[in-house]
Amino acid sequence: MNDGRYELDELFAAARAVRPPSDAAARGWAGVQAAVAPTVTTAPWVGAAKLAGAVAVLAAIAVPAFGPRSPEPTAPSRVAVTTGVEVDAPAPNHAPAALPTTPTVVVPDAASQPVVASTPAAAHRTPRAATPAPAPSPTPTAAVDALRDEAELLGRAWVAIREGDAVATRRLLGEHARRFPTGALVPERQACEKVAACLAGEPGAADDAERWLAGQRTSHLADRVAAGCSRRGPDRRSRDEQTPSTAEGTR
Amino acid sequence: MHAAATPGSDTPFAALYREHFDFVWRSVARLGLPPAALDDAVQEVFVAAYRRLPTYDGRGPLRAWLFGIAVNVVKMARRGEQRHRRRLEAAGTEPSDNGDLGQRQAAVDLLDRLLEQLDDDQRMVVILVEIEGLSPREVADGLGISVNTVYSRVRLARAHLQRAASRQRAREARSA
Repeated sequence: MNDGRYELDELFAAARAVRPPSDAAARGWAGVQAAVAPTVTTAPWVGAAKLAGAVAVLAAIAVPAFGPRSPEPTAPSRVAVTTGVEVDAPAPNHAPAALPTTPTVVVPDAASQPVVASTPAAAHRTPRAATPAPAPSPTPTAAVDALRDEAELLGRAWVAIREGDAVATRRLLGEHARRFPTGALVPERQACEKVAACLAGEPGAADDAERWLAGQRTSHLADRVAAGCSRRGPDRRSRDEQTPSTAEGTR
Repeated sequence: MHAAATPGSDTPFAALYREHFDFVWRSVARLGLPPAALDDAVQEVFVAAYRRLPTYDGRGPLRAWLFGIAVNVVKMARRGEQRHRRRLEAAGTEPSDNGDLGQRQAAVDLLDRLLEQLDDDQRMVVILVEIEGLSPREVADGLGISVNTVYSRVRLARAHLQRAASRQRAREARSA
């Protein structure tokens, strides 16, 4: 391999052929669930979907309404769990990612290291020795796109709330309702609607929010709605400006 | 109503996870994390993606957005990993890297060492274009740079990698 270009392309091809260990996706999913939905005790996949939206709404509420966006909220300062590297036959560059099933070359695990829970996410990790959670089943890209679109719509709605644009808020929430009547983020839309109504000073909005909250005691959205509806009034913005953002600290 | 109600069944984020897991895992590996650190770093990427989903504006491909998160996660993880490696080296112990890796794994290891020599900007575009197969336009949109910049970085990176690979081969030949 004297030709440098040829050699380099061979190296790239080898890198493209690398696949994660066959159980890595399932292990990772268990950890993701534990990190983002630590309080969900039943129907974890429902909880994960809800929390995806809840987190989206939390970010939207806490950031646009109470302060500027923060940089990357979490990142590991130390990671530890050991895994091997598996390499299988070369695959096409753009082949759809799928959970690997038949690795041909398996590198055994390196020595295990203790997990250092240095971040909130790490603190909620599931022990890797436990049986991995079932990995997600094959799904169409459309589902991903829908979630992204839902989150984007609700994020824009919260920005509109922050900017006091009631017309835009109603339009965006209405669009979400039309496009995603049974979407994954319907509870998040409802929470957004409650806060929007409170901030707009609609008659009965606070009582409506109270009733809604009565059925959402365990929801991650409850605190946000309570906060949004208790902070209504002409002096809300000035109070916010005097208070450091609690975006990350209240998650 | 939510998309799924039972463990293992479908949800939108599960679809995203499944669709992009291999890409994220491979990207994190090529960004320089050792095998022992990969699982947790990949997990962190998806947790962060969960939290930052509202910030995704749809202008670039989702993979490039995830890659940006992966870069940040890896930067943080590598600090801890470097501390760990320094401690091992100080103790006269090299991190075990799993024995007989095979020719392809050796090639990947070599590429990782070469990628280490690139600056962050060049490393990112090489991974996305040459390994993950994103188009220069997709990379430009995802990273917020011009297409010409992407081409330029790829060209410079390839030249650097080729020189580095040649030097590496020459060293190996001399020591053989």
